[in-house]
Amino acid sequence: MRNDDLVDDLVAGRGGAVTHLVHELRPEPNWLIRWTVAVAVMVACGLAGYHGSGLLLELSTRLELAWTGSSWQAPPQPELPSTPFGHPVP
Amino acid sequence: MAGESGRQAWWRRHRRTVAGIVLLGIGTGVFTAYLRGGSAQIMPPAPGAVCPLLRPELLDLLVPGRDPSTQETDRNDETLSAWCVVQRPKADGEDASLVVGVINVGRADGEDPVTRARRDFYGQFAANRERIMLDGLGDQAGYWSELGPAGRIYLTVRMGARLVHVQYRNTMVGPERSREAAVLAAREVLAKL
Repeated sequence: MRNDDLVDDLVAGRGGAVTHLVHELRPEPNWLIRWTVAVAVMVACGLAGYHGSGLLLELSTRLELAWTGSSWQAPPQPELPSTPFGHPVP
Repeated sequence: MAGESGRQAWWRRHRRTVAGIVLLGIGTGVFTAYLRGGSAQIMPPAPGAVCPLLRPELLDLLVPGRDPSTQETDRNDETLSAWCVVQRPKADGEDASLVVGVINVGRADGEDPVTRARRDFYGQFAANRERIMLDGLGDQAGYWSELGPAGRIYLTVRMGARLVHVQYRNTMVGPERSREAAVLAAREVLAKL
């Protein structure tokens, strides 16, 4: 490739010169490290979402049960009936 | 780039990758949280013993000549329950029995305890029997009864995420008095919960 062509490509943003420059600025990624980190992060986030929401649900359930229990107004005790419901065993 | 530190250079080179991983991670976390929310089963606290909530003199009137009451507990999916069973010996051919249970309902299938208790309340009724609702007992109350003059009565009261269930059968009295007895037993328990 002639130097003129290289300069023309560079100015126009195309071809081998640009690729060369981009690789200078942004080296080839290490896919092994990248995928390892990505999978580890997915697993960690998945576990965090599962257990975190479980803890939140547990807490909200306890709060709801406590709230419904505290808002319950017990009625007065009923009076005993005047007559029994049947007769005792002879 | 000229003048940037190693950390800045690393970040400039990897920020899109990091952003992608972070976004996918958040998505994974939200997805598993959603799955967990739909399947979480959280047990309620266990109810206390039921027999001490019922006055012995009331039990003597409801189930004349009764044997000593017995207590039971049960665990079923997201519910914990305690029961008091009172029976009369069938020496003279008559039958009377009272079963009173307090059922605490927890979370299951993505439903909160109150919604779950409401579902369980309606689930207590028989599909092929008349469902009679009662006013003034808890948040919801209703009963159904078996066929025949001495059919067993099944009464359920819901208060929040808690159910009181009464089963009463007495061959010595008619349906009206049986219903009165079941309501009395339920009111007795409600007064002391």
